[in-house]
Amino acid sequence: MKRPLSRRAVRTGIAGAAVLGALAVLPLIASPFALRVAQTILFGAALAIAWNILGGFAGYWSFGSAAFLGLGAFTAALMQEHVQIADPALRLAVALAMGGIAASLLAAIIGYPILRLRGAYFSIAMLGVSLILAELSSGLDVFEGAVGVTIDPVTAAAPERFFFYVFLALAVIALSIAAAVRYSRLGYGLIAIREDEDTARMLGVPTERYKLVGFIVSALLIGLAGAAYAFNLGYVTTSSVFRSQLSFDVVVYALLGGMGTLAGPVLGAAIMAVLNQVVLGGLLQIHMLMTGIIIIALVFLLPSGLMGLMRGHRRILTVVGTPMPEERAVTAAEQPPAPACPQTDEAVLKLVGLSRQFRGLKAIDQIDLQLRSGSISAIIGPNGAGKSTLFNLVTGYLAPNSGEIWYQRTRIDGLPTHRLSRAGIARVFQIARPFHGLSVYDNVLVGALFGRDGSRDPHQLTMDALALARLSALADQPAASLPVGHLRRLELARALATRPRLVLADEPCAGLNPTETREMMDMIQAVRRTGTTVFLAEHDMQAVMRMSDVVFVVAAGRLIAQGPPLDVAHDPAVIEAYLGKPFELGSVSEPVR
Amino acid sequence: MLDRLFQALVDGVLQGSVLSLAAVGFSLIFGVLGVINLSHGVLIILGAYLALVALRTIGLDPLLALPLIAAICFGVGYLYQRFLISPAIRRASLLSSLLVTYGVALILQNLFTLVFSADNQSVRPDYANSFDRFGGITVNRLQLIAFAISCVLIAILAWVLRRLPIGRSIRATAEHELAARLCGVDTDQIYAISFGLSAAFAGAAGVLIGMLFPFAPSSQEDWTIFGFVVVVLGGAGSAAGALLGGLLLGIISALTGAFVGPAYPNAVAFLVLVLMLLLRPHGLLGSAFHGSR
Repeated sequence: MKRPLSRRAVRTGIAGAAVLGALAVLPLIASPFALRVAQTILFGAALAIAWNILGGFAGYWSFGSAAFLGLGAFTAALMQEHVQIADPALRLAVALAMGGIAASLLAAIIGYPILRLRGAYFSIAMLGVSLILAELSSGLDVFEGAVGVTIDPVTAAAPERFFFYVFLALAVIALSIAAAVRYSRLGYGLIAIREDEDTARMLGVPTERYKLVGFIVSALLIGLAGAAYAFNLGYVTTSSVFRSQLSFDVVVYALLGGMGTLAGPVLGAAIMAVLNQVVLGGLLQIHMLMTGIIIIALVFLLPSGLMGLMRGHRRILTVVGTPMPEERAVTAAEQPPAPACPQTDEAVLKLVGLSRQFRGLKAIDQIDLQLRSGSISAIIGPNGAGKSTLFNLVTGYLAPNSGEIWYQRTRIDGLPTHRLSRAGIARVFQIARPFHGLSVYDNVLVGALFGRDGSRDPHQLTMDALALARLSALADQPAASLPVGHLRRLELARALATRPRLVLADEPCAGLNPTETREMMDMIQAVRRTGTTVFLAEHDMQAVMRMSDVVFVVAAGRLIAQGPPLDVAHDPAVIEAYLGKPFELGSVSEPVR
Repeated sequence: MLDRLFQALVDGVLQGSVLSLAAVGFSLIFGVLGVINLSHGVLIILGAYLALVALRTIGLDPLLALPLIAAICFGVGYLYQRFLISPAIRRASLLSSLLVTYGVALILQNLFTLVFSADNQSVRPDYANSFDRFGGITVNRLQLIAFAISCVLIAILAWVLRRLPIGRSIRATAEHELAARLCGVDTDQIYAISFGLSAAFAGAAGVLIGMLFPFAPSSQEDWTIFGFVVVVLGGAGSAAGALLGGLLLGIISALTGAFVGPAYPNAVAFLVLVLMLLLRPHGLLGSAFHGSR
């Protein structure tokens, strides 16, 4: 993804350098009070930036930042107490490092189980973790948390200045790491997880691993900040670092500034620190009360955070704006270059004796079938026959009770969904599941960034997939604004961007009007022309009869017929179980193919 | 030894019932609105301070004041949802309710500090200090009264939710807001009423807590956290779940207090919380309401 820096990136860089320069000379000119405010801002910003890596990008809100903060602080304090290092600067550096390492170790240990929780449950579990640590730190003798650990001063002269630079360095490091994450594959993956975790997995995002990495990075930074905080304070007690209020303050900073943005947490920390210490500094009695009022007022005044003020309908994901090609209708004649249709006898997908039960119900019962490479196959059957279950089995959402699933020459049952995507299996959901918060372009870009292994140009892939789905003109629109028909096409484009060898499409024509159905059929034909095998579940018999090479009929979990469309349509068993009467092609006699 | 075990179990159940009452409203709000009400603890403390005011100004016994305080808190909760939380959610997002309730908790906590000072207070009546002995077990009479009141109130809530039309509307709204609206339920009204109910139970619990334990403005945070724990143990949005969760929390605390050491009850309780989340994220009774997805 190397593209020339845009004007915006350059401007951001210059502005950043200017701010950094101003901050670097601040201690020389500012009053001690201003310096203290600046310190608070930098500390809060570092915490909120770190929190935002998991909370803002991936949508996993931790209410337990204090766990990492406190662990970092205590580790650093105990480290400097028990390991004698004469040089104060080295002592600080080692203690900080240990604090960060301890926090990230904790994250690595609890990460896997705790990140399986979603939504509020993750938040609460993290609160629980921080409370457990708080109790342990005051209860266990090693931590001496109830009485506190005293830290020897690191510098004799001007500690305010010294720690200002420590916190400045911390905030800059945190921001750089957050920016690096944000514009890496990791960042795109985390954002996809925030938008819809199941879909992200289907597009090939290794969700478990990404969440864990985000969690550990976030914990590392919070642990570092905690250690620095302890040294600045000169002592650590349970109540000074394991404060739940600290955990919630961090969330407030990120929310006020703007979730999931880079600058948001910094702005949020700044506005709260300035309000708290400068505006309300003199009102000791009602100071916290006013803070509460201000938080509520800001929710109403800035509903999407400070950053929300500045953001229009810009693409969220893309680093650099690339000019969109002019809109043009892509007709069937000028579809992307179609390699000679490589329809061969090799099986892309092979199911052997596949079964899946839900309690007593045999949803899939001993199904054997094969899909030829480059073919379009359809699976039909009454509602509840097991079509969606079959798709869920093939895409790894469900594990079979017995039987085997072979993809090309690999057995794939039991593999995680994102691995299947990397191997080249894509899926179009029955109910379109776009990433609502992202633009059309970004939705497809996620597919292009992940998906099947191999080298790629994500931007080009995205543009090609958008062109095939005839969505190029809508690339900058938010996905949430699209009507149903367009959402289906977006779904298809996103699946294609993963460069699949096999696409499973679950009722792609359901809910579409006749024109849209015809367009969808054209697109599926175009997909096949690129050599991709298509497996459809569909109720629209017109569509099935016209497009498919092979039709499979399931009823009550069993495969009752298979073969060319017309043969199947006249099979008495199929008529009885599903069609009701022999299927006749409508007035349009010419096959679309 | 066996006596100590029984004593701890009884203490745990008695304390746990009050925890259940304190948390049931939090659970209801989380289950029905999907809102994590960070001001729940401060509403409990509000109940305690109202009891204090009633006692100091007109000498009203806290137990007699309880229905009145619950009614006042219902009104407070109703208006709070209608005019603050609901507009915030509409204007920003569901998540913004977190900020709003956090802000309200800050405001009220500091308001209480201004008015009543940050010191510990209590509305412990005289009859609180009489004890009854059953076999080898000593029971404080006030705790017994609090246990009875908590159980009755939770039973009433369960009955309202299960049997009354308003309860059915609340449960329907919790399951699916749009579907409930299509069936003619005024969901805005239901949300406000749910919040009112939640606040009323918080207020009632606050009165009992004020009688049983010393309280201060800063203790509000602990009560919100107990709400979390109980919801996780019992599952969101059900009265029976809250009862179960509260009793479990009480028993766990009492057992660890008696057998492990006085310093650890909270650590063990939170450990159970985290383990529980990992093993059964929908609570023991497994009610999967909208907030718990």
